[in-house]
Formats: sequence, C-alpha cells, structure tokens
Amino acid sequence: MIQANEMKPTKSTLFWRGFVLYQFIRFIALMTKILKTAMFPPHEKHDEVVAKRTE
Amino acid sequence: MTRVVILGAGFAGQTAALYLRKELGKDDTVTVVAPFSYFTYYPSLVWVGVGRMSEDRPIFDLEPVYKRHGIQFKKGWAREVYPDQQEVMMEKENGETERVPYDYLVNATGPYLNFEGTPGLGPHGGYTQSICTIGHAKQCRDAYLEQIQRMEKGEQVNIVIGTGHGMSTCQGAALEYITNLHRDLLRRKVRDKAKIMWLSNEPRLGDLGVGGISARSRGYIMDSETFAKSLYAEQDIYYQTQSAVTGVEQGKIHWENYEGEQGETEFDFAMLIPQFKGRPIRYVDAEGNDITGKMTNPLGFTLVDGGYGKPWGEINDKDWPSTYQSPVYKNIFAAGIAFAPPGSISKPFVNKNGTNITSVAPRTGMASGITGKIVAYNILDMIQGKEPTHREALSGMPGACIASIDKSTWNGSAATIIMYPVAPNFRRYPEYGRDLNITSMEIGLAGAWMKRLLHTGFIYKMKGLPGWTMIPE
Repeated sequence: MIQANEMKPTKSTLFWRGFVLYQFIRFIALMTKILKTAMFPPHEKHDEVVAKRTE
Repeated sequence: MTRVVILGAGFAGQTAALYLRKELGKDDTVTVVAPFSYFTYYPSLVWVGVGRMSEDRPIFDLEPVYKRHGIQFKKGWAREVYPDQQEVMMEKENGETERVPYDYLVNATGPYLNFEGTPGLGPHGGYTQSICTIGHAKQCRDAYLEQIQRMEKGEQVNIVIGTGHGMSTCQGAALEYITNLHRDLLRRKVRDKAKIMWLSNEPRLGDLGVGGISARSRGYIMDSETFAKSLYAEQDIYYQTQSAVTGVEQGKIHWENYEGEQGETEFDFAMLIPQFKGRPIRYVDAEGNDITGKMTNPLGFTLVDGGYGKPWGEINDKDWPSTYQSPVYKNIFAAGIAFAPPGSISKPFVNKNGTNITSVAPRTGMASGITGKIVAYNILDMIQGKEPTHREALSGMPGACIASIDKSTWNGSAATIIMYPVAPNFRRYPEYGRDLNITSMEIGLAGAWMKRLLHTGFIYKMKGLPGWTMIPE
C-alpha cells in the first residue's frame, strides 16, 4: 500500500472549492459544458477538421 | 401492430421504453420484462451505503409510470430467447414460465454481478460488501455502521474499498464510495480511527477503466493519475493498483499483482465491486440448438455491430458499436451494460501466473441512457422499413463522472470529471485521444450541486414526467 503525498491542495485551493459565489459560476460553466456536449456533440466539426488534414 | 419487448428496467431499458412508447402508435405495444417492479437510481446508492440517504430515495415504483404511459410490464427473469420464433421465455417469481412474443427485442438486462468469480466476495455468504443494488447498499450501510460503533469505542479499523476481481469495472462507483466514506468519518469525528485503503485492478491510479484522462489545468495538461493521487493525499487514503483480488476470507483479502506476487491485506470492512458479466440468457434457434455462443461473447454480453476480435492495440474508434443491432438477428438490439464492447479501453494485462488484471470498459449511467435512446430510434427506423440510421459509439459519446465527497449542498464537494469521448479517439484527437476543450477534472461545491441536480433530474426523467425528453441522457 502506498500513501500519496503529492499535490495536496493549498489553503487557497480549499477556500475556492467552498466559496459559494465562485462555485456557482463553476456550476453554471460545468452544466453548460455537459448540456452542450450532450445535446450538440462536436462530431461534424472535428470530422471536417480531420478531413481537411488528410486532404 | 408492432410488439417491442425490452428486457430490463434500468437506465437503458427505461430510456428505450419511454422513447418507444412516446413515438409508437396506439396499436403497437411496448412490454418491459424485469425481475423488479422498481427503478433504481444507482449513482445515489453510495449515499445509502454510508447512511447519508434513506433507502427509499434512490428508487421508485415503476407500475404507476408504466400505467400512465401505456407500457406493459411483466415481472420475471428472461431465461431464454427464441430468435427464429421471435419469443422470449420468462420465469416468474412463482417458478411459472411464460413465452412473450416480439417483433423487436432490446436486451437491456444490465450486469450479472459475478461474486462467484472471487471466492469469499460479496454480501451473500461472503465477507465483503457491495453497493451494486439497493439491497446490497442497505447491507453495506449496516455493516459500516457496526464499524462506526467500534471506532466510537476507540478501536482502530481497516477499511478496504475498490475492485474485487481482476476484470472488474465501475471503479468510479468505488471511488465515490471511498471519498464519501472519508467525509462521513470526518463528520462523525472518528476519521483518525480508520485506515482507508484503495485496492484496484487499474493499471494506474485514476485510470477508472477509461485508460485515464488528461485535461487542462491552470496552464498544464494534468492526467487523472495526478488528480487521484492529489485527492488521496488530501484524504489520507492508501492505495494499491495493478492488483486482482483472488479470494477473501474473514478479515483477509488475497490478491495478486502485475508481477505475479501474491499477498494479503487485512480488513475489518471492505466494499469491493465484483466482476460484471452479461445476464445468463440462453438463445435457442428453430432447430432447438443453443446459439448463445453466436449471440454473446464469453462473458455473456450481447454481440452487436462492433469490430470484435482485434488485439487491444488495434482497436480504433470505428470498432466501437454504434447502432447496437445484432449482426445475426437484425430485430435484436442490446443497450447499456448488456452490449459487448470490442475490448477494454484500459491496457489489458495478464501476469506470469495467467491472472488477467484488466479494467473492463464502463458502460453505466450516461452511456446506458444514450444507448437506450439510440436503440429506440433505430427500432423506429426499422418499423418504417429503413436501416438503423442513429449512431452513437463510446468513441463519440460524452461521459461525466461526478464522484461526490459528501451529499451536503452547503459544505459538500464532488470531483467532477467530464470527458469527451469516453473511449479515446486518436483519429480525431491524435495527442490525448480526447477533446481537451471539453474534458475537465475539478473538485468543489459545484460538483455537489451537480450531483444533487442529476439525482433529481434523472429520477424525474425516468418517471416520464412532463417535459422528460428535455433532460438529456
């Protein structure tokens, strides 16, 4: 068994993780990202990019 | 008149049933065959398992939902399928059998929890706990609360969480359980009395059965191994990966690792996810021959339109199934955990003793719902005389894993992992296999809100209440 001891969060990180206003903004951002990706997955856009790359 | 029969009432089965019923005509029938008459929202079972949610909250009765939507329900286990006669043989609770005719069949039976695959594993006659069903979660909670009493008396307790077989999947559920358990022990002020350990079959920490995840973080590309190490360092959790649990006895877990070394870990309380297999359903052709081997892979998952049989390194994005249609019988589909993946996403490994230590590809939650919807629309295509046109492969499907760290919406937290696609697609994204504009990992209170919103939103959707189609899978 290994005990990890790397990248422990700093006090500042812990503060931002629980800071309601900042977390509300993150909530909106993450929900938007999930909904946008679920409803409009970026298939076509990337296929076009790949097609252009291979031309 | 078209008859669609759906085996299973989990995420995939329920999604398929609701969409089919919505789109089919009054003369058409949608019949769900399932052994339980309730729906379980599995992601919330972790909260039941630590006593933070009552057991009635993640479940609801299906019969009123089916009555409202005009879906027929038959309670029982699907035992045999006769694809030539287009019939399913189901066994009821009282042992009677019934043949249910179909024009289209959806296998959405979910996993068979293979506790027998590891001697001594599981809550039925074994020594470990599970949170894979509501019954298991309740047993797990009771066993956990017994340990709490010991800790409150000042005793030291060893807790092991992880996977209970070399080929287990669903590490995300175990991760969520371990982080909730840590937080619950803190809340009860007994965290110092517990040594919490993570024991898993992942090739590296943070693999989660999806080959690990890379995401942008403050100007760097961070991988999920660093993310998980950071989380475990913060929560003082010990870990051991690359290990297959080979047996469990009272207080001892036996394991084998990549090097072929065998060892033991002592425990007082353990929650280990078993291997998932396909539900044992026998397929029989018109001549009475058993054709199960033609319809399923050796683990019992239904073969669909995937590129099967390739070595791991040669599997590409196009090999992942996308229509979920059986190549043998075109009117049979599989959704959710029931479909066979072309291989694992994580790198497979067999040690010198021949023990397979491979994280199997997860197909739960979001993936189950999406495949259920795809299958429903492909059946509608076929009813209209077309070939299936709807496609969504794991190599083009988004995934979200929200591992809560306490249920509280005030001071709770969650590790939010969003990935696109679930199975890395190196043709589209040559460097990391995933879209770094979408893929992200972060911890914070926002995740706790999202987890709570998903609980409420998905149960609302699965009940088929007004506007349910607006909530994405």
